[in-house]
Amino acid sequence: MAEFKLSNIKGKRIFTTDGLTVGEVVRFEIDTVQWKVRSLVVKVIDTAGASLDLKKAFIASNEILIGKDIIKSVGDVLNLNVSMDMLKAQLSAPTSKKTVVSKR
Amino acid sequence: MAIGIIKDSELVGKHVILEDASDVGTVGDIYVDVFDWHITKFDLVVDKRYIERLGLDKSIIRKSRLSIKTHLVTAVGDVVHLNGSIEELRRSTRAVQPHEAAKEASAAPAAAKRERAEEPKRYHRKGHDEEKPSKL
Repeated sequence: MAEFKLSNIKGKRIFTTDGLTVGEVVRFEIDTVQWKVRSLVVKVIDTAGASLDLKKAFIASNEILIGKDIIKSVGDVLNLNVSMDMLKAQLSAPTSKKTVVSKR
Repeated sequence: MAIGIIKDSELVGKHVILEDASDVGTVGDIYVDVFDWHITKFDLVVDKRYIERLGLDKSIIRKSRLSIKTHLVTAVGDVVHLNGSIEELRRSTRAVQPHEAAKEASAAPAAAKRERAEEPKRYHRKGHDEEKPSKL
């Protein structure tokens, strides 16, 4: 069992399987019925935003929801089990918006 | 956002209320097992009125905390409702007082060392006594 404080995961960088940075964890969505983390809110860096076809916000930065199912490992950083292209595909898939990854 | 889904920042700071209507404190750090992303426990930052009743030591530097397992939570809304009364909480939870934990941790090796020092030295060499030549 690897137990972390949620506050210690905040700020960690997230990487795809092809070694690209997605961004950093800013907050979590918690299911208080099942007591599980449902998804992580990630602040996307500009380069990843371009790769993911996210519109660049004028003032605020882009944030995406990443489902816990696509997180492979947590340590000093978070590794995803998808590549940037797969992440982009999941973002653009209408069915997956609510479940795995969604644009905010 | 669906019912029961809240941001972590919304949970942190919520007041924790017991069955006997005691407002014992607020939610502090939340702990997650990253294997299955299950929230295992959270720190209860104990209100100063309840520190002594819960058998905790007052600290000037750090607020007293208790570790609360999430299965004790009955509801989360504007506040977090916990199962049990103050007495039950006192019995069932373990204090998370860093200065005490540190004290215990540093005392344990010292105590072990002391015990070792007090213990008479024993040599268990097989047949040692038999081999010893008797004085003539």
